[in-house]
Amino acid sequence: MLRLGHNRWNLPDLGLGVGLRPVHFRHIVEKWPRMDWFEILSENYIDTAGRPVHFLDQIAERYPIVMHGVSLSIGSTDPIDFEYLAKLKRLAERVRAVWMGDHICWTGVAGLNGHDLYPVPYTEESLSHLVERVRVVQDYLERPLVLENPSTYLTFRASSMPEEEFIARLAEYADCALLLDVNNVYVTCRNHDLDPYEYLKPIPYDRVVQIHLAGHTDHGSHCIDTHNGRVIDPVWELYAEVQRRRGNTATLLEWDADIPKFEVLQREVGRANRFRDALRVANA
Amino acid sequence: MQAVVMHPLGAAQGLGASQARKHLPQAARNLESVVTRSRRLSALARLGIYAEMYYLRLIEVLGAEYPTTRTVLGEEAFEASCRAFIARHPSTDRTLQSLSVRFPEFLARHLKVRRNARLAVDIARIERAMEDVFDAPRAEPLGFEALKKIPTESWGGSRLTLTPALRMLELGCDADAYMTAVRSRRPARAPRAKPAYIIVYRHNLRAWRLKVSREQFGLLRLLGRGWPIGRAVYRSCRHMRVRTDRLPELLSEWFRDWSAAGLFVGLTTPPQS
Repeated sequence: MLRLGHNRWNLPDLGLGVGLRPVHFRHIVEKWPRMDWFEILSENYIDTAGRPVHFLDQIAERYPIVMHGVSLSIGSTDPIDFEYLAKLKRLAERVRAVWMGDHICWTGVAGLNGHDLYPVPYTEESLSHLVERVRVVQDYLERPLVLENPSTYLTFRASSMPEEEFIARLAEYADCALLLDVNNVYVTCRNHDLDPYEYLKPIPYDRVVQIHLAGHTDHGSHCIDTHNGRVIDPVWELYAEVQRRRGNTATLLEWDADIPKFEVLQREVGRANRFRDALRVANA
Repeated sequence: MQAVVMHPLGAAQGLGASQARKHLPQAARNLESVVTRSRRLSALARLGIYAEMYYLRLIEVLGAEYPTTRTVLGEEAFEASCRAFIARHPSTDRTLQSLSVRFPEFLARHLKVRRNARLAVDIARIERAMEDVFDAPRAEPLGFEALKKIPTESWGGSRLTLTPALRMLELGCDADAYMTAVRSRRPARAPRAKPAYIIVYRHNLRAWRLKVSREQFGLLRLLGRGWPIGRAVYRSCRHMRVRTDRLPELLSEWFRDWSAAGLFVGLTTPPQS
């Protein structure tokens, strides 16, 4: 049974999940392993009618599915792509997505797609721009959009507010939900010489419906959000802090490069239980 | 920023490119008036992270879709080809499914290497076909039993619909055999130039490759174009070196094998007179 989450929309606390990746398709449909839910990369399923959809249909019968996109490009100046939104909507109906989201970023302009999450300048002008676009998308999708803080590697001189303030105001003005990626908080703060605990303070936790965990690559001079390994201790500590502020929230482990066996993912995401259980004890 | 990040020679060159200068006339001289530096990285180095990741990510996608092409060309030539391709054909889609659709055609026109060039192009075409059938729509296959039920007098005028998960390739050499050897990590010699025909199709959620004769290839191609079976057989097999009385048995084998592979998904028989 799903537990209702403490958020504005009463979206459920789905428990612990992992990103659904093709290398695990067969394992999942043959073993039906213990996992509370799966997150899919929306774009991997909207333009195919073959093998990925075949497996997704079966998996969606047994597990809750959350859709997470990478190409909405909500910060772009290109017109909103309603054809793409229609595909997302159809997929959401097909898999009965519990919610769907993307990132606070842009991925391309002038009709191109860089397939990366580019940062927006944190200005009043871009805030208004994003608020308007998020509202339009939510109206079309008929559900709240769950937007994630991206890992960023540069900041614009024109920015007039910190990223966390921009995110908080965006969520409030557009009335959207948030996906707080604590690994991204760590990576971004490392790259911009910021304190991640300060970053967490202004986040409106009643709008946070999901948390991401992941590994990254530390190059010394900067960190890259590579999703290629275990979650490091400082990120777990940030996760614990978010849990303290937010309460138990649907948590997902992302692992997209050098993907290990499914059992490794189960163990790694299972480590989150320490913090969820600790919270329950503290609240008892 | 996009013009800088997507520049094939990197962020520093991108800053000087006309596209970037159009939007940021001062960019090349005064990047830090636009992008801040961190304690450890300059503004250019920070921008360079996105530029590097842009090509790395898309080359990784191409590498996953064209693993044998990569082996045949070698890392250096493959990466150079990918960079040139991405620069020439940047993605315009929300998904990555169609990113590399034109890659084989691009290789055919622009491949700079001399050794194994033709082979690499043929293998790229096979690998592209495997991606295509992987994503093609599903359709319920027609069993051989359904074909056997066609009345003899209707056979010639009947038309078959081929599965959308089928691609037919006419190659310049036996690239398929070479590909099989490479993928099995067996030693392989580059094949001689000689026409070869293969079909690539999806069956039971896997992509399969099957070498076919020129006549089989021609027959399937005509059936795919909607020709009636009789005319398609006549046109494709009329020069085949086989005894006339042996042909029905041979055709029966072909249609049985193709049915088992799920190549037929629809049948239209002519109205009975």
